[in-house]
Amino acid sequence: MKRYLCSIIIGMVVILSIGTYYVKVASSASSLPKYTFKTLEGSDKELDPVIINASLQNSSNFYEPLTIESNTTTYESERSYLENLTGRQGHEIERLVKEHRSFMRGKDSISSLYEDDDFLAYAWVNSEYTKSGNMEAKFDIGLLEKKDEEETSFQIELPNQGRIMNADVRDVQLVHSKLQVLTMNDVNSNSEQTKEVHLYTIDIANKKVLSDKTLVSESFTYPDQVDFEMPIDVAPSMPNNMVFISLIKGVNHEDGSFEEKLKESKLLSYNYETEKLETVKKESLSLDMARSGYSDGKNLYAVEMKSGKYRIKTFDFSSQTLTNDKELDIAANKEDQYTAAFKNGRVYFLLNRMNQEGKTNKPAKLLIADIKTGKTLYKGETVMNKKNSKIFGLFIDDLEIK
Amino acid sequence: MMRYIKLVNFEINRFSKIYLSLLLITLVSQFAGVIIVTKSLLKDARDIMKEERLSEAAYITNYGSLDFNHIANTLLFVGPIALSAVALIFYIFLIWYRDWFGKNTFIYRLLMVPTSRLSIYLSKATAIFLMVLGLIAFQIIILPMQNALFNSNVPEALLNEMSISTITIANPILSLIIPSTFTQFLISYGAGLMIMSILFTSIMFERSFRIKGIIMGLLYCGIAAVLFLAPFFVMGFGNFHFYPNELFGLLLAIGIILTGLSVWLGAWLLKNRVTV
Amino acid sequence: MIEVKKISKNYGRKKILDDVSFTANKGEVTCLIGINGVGKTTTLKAIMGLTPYKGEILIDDQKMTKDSYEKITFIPDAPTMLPQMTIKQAMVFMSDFYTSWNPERANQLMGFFKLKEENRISELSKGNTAKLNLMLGLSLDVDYVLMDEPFSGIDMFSREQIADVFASHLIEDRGVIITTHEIGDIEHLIDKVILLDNGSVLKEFNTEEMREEEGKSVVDVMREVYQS
Repeated sequence: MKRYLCSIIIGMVVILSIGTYYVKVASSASSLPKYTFKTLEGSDKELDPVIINASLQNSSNFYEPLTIESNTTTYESERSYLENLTGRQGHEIERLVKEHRSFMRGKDSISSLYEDDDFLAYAWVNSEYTKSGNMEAKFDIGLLEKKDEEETSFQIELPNQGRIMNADVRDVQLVHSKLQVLTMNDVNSNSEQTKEVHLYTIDIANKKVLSDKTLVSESFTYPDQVDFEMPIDVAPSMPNNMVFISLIKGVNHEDGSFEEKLKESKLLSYNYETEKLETVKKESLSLDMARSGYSDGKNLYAVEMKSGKYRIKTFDFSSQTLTNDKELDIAANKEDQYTAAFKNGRVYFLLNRMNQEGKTNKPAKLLIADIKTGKTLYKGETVMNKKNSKIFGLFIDDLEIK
Repeated sequence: MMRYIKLVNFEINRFSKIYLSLLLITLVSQFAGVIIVTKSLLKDARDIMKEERLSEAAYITNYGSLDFNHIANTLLFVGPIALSAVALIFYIFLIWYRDWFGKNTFIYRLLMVPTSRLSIYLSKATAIFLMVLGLIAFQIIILPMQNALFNSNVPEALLNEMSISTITIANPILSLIIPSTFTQFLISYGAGLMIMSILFTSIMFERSFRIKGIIMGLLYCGIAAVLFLAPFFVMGFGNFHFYPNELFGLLLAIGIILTGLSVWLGAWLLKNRVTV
Repeated sequence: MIEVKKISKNYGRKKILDDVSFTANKGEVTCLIGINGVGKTTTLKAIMGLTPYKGEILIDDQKMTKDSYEKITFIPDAPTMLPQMTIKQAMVFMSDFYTSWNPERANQLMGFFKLKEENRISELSKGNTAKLNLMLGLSLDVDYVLMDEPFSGIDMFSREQIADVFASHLIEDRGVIITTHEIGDIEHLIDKVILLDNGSVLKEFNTEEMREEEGKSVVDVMREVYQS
């Protein structure tokens, strides 16, 4: 037996030590605090479509991502390896993958997708850089006819690609059987920088780029700067008539700060149907509001903090007027951070105070209200199932609504 | 079966002296690291506090608190892990070649043991794998002790206490040898087994065909790598996209096939082609 | 019976064995004779499955399997146990892995060769190493024993001791294949001679018949063959 001592010891130590370690790891996940919303007002049924992606952190190195879905907390470490492999995906993409698995291969950018009752369309700029630094780019185009699951996929050269350094697809629409692809491009030039918004019209049946329209083109030299931004799209894959582009002009100071030239900045709207590009009057919609706003292609919703309350303003694209302005029944505080989502005719409003060392955590508050009437449908706050977890802070990453 | 176990035991005993030395080096170096580095960290912290007239709390807000990561990133701590890794990778080759080129040609005796050549092949693989796991297990045992030692040496005001799982996640080398979940552990060490079986089989090619065998062995490694990475080539050049779970399934299947193939081929070469 | 049927082997372009065929019977001592480098050792390795070859080798009408190692043993001219082992540990290794290990015979041979269990293999003289090899090989209850140059580089007294083993009952009934280029010590024990040259069998004869019919000793035949 003595001859086997070495092997027996190694074998036992391996099984006991590694076994104990992983049993402990598995059980430690279940010792983490679970968050749920305690209903203060309204029906907790309203919580069903709410998905909150967040993480539990403390001041040192502790970081554990979690999801609160349908009022249940699940930590990433509690999920199976395969689930975590796929990673956190928007639930919209998840649904599309489930419904059209073959078509959705390699398509994970929601703003590159368009979906209506009959079609699912996709456009992406597939670019490579040659050794000399030039970009070679092709459109990856895909169209799925839902009725008979018929797929069309092809690549076409990006027009005028010699002058483009970078092209980023921001919106895709299908208008009169033609694919409309809105991109933001950086243009190749030596002396000055140029940024452009392009609209490519693609004939899917004939696999041709019908037109390449430059909607906006801005050139500048440092320290001047120009940026294009779009409000958060709450329905990025749905059919929209209009897009909304905010043009930010400013100057970089030597100390590194950026100052916006408010007079030169503007808001533009483009209508796919009428092919009209218009400047939105500043009187009807302030720049700030437009930029922090949420758009669904018809309306722009913006959150405003005013005299201790949050207000939701609704701006109608077609009439270019403010159509609604409702106060939310929730107290505002400068230290709070809000995360908002607009869906199902409701505004979902999550308030969370950043954790500060030594202070007890305030619970996160969730308010669900009707956008039109401002009426509160649900109000609740987080509770933890463990009292001693004050060293942890809950950090909200995003709010998703099914 | 009994002969296989006896062979594994025999291989482990043959390596036991070097193995014990590795364990001892790890133990001494890492504990010395904890003690020495803690002292110098505290001294530096005190010096800064004195110079800049900071309270302990102010020091923490400016420079951060002291945690075990400071220890785990030092050479005294990581060095022995690297040494052990290199030693065992080296031993993948030595475990075969020492039988041929040692002072005595033990390979005669080994190949005349009345057991299948597959057992001989597997016993060497098992011995190495068990010794690798043994080292990991040893690290898992001494890590909490080192952490406790560190925590008791640092004043509470400056200390940021970390759990063992946080330490292993935060340190790149520790997270490599002690994966954060059991599934990841199985996958990582499964991949290790696959690589070892491929190397073993390449060694068998060399032992069978000598100089030509070196080329065949390298070729085999290359083919194995291409096969294993084939799904990525399909994605890169074939313009086809796999979903993550499909990719995982494919890699798992290819990995298992490749390991099986390597073991079979290696044992076949050992049985039919190897020259003593 | 060990039947070697038309075996061939090349190292690169060099032919080591070319259509070698012979048989070795149980209860007989068969001697492979030839000058150095004619493929004697390679033939033994081929029989033991330690090197690949073309052709066929049958042991009692069967191909070599793992179980054959309980029936046939090979005693090479170099030490095969690890140098750091003691003789005792080497014996334990044998008894661990071979069911045919016979501890009584091992003790008998230990006494016969005056070997000490506690001696380390690395510290043994050339003669004692050869004796150890012989002891380990002969202590297995096998049907066939293959010996490679048991007398090379060994002092006179050890040679005599080893030669005595052949005369003793220790190898009675077994089939022995021995390679050597110095047959003086054991010529009277050899039943059959296979003369090898350049990888092929030059001449195969029965020593007794040769002596009776032609009045020639093995050495006489060797001289005739190699000097012509």
